[in-house]
Amino acid sequence: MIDVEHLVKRFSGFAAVDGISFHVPRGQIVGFLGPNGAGKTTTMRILTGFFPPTSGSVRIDGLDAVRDSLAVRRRIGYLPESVPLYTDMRVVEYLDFRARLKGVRSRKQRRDRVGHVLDRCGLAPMRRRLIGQLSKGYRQRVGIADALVHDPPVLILDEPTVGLDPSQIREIRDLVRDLGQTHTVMLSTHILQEVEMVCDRVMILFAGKIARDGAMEEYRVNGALELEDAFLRIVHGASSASSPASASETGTGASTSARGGTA
Amino acid sequence: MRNLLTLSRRELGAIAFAPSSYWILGLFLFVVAYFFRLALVAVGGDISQSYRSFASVVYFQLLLCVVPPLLTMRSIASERHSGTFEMLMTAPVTDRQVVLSKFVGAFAFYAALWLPTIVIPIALFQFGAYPDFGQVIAFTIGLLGLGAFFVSIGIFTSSVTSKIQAAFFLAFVLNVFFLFGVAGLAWLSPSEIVRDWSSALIIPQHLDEFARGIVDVRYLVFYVTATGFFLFLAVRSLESRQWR
Repeated sequence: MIDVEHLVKRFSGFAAVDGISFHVPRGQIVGFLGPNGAGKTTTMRILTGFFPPTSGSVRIDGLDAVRDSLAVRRRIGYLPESVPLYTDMRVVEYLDFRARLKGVRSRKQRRDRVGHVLDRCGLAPMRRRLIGQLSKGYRQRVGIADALVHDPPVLILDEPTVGLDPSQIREIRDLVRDLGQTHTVMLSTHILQEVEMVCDRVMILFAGKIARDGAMEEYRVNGALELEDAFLRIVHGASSASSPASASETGTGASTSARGGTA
Repeated sequence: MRNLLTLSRRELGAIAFAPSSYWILGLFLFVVAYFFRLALVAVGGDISQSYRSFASVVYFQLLLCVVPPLLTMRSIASERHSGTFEMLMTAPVTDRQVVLSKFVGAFAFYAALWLPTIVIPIALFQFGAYPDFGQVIAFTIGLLGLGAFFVSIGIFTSSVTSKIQAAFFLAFVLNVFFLFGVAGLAWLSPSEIVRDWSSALIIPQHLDEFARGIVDVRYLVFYVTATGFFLFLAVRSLESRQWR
């Protein structure tokens, strides 16, 4: 479903993504891990057609993400990291607008789809509210509802649970797991537990490269999941040889994951 | 086409539901009404002269430089600032549709600002003065043409920055340049050729002719071309994220 080959993205000389390749089959949930600045968001932005790669290729459902950008975007539901939304619109109005943009043409179809995602994301009681008045948790749900509204086969979720309280995290997690039955999902997160609970496969990105990529079982040592160890080994193994700046960055990553663990 | 309609509607909605738009409307109508009255008095109540006199009022011309940037400054800059730009550009829409819809939305609101001023010729009519409606229509056409040009400048400046104030200021400066600066160039230039060419681009002169009831198609062609040019620049500016 997602084919990425030798993907490179340079920003004024600096390689944010440095030659990564992977393949995600239909119906898999892939967790994208890595410290801040590892290239997760950049990779996701290329997949969603926000900007093209410097070199390398991305194919979604057999379509090239650069040449058939519009067709690819129709097949993807994307939740950007900070969930930017038009705060002056009402929830139902916004979703209808997005559905229309994403090619859900007929009025009836749109009403069905919008109604469906409102229910699915627990937004029905908030449908008439202005988005600007919603809490963080509800905004996150509007973002997810937006990603789902045109029923795309591929979902790309950039930190879908960041900033949510524990019960909201659980709800979103359950939702993602549920969606994984019918969709190909790629999600990035700092919360290792989340990956353990939701994903079939884990990719750890570090400094623009894939440091490790494997099915969840491969991270099991003697029956216990050693995801955190694997993560820290990669991050610290590299940072002990590099600058203190990157060491502090990995510190943030580790502490976030610890917080996630208690959540 | 459908996307364009959807996006334009959203854009017009965003402007129409912003409280600041109504401050702009109020300011606009006040300035237009106040200076039209002054202009009318200045020409001794001669209706046919009043439009010309009004078109030459510097405060009115400044208003033409201020209002379009107020309507366009948020269009793209605020999308970049708030991050909704990413949502917008990962939907299946082209850069061209985005820019054009921003233009259509802002221009529609600009055109709507002029609607209430229809009471001016009607009021004159009520008081027994008979304005030449051909003149009114010509003047309106001129104002819409110039408005399209200035709105496109605003869309362009809004596309190059994520700071709303910068988008406003840059557009205002460009508008002032086109309205007053080109005239200065035309008058001051020692070169006959420059004077000749730039004299066709003196907007206050265009306004004067429109206010006399003359629709010179060359001026409209100039506005349309310039509008296209600035919208093209705005599209390029959006595309620049692809090669940065």
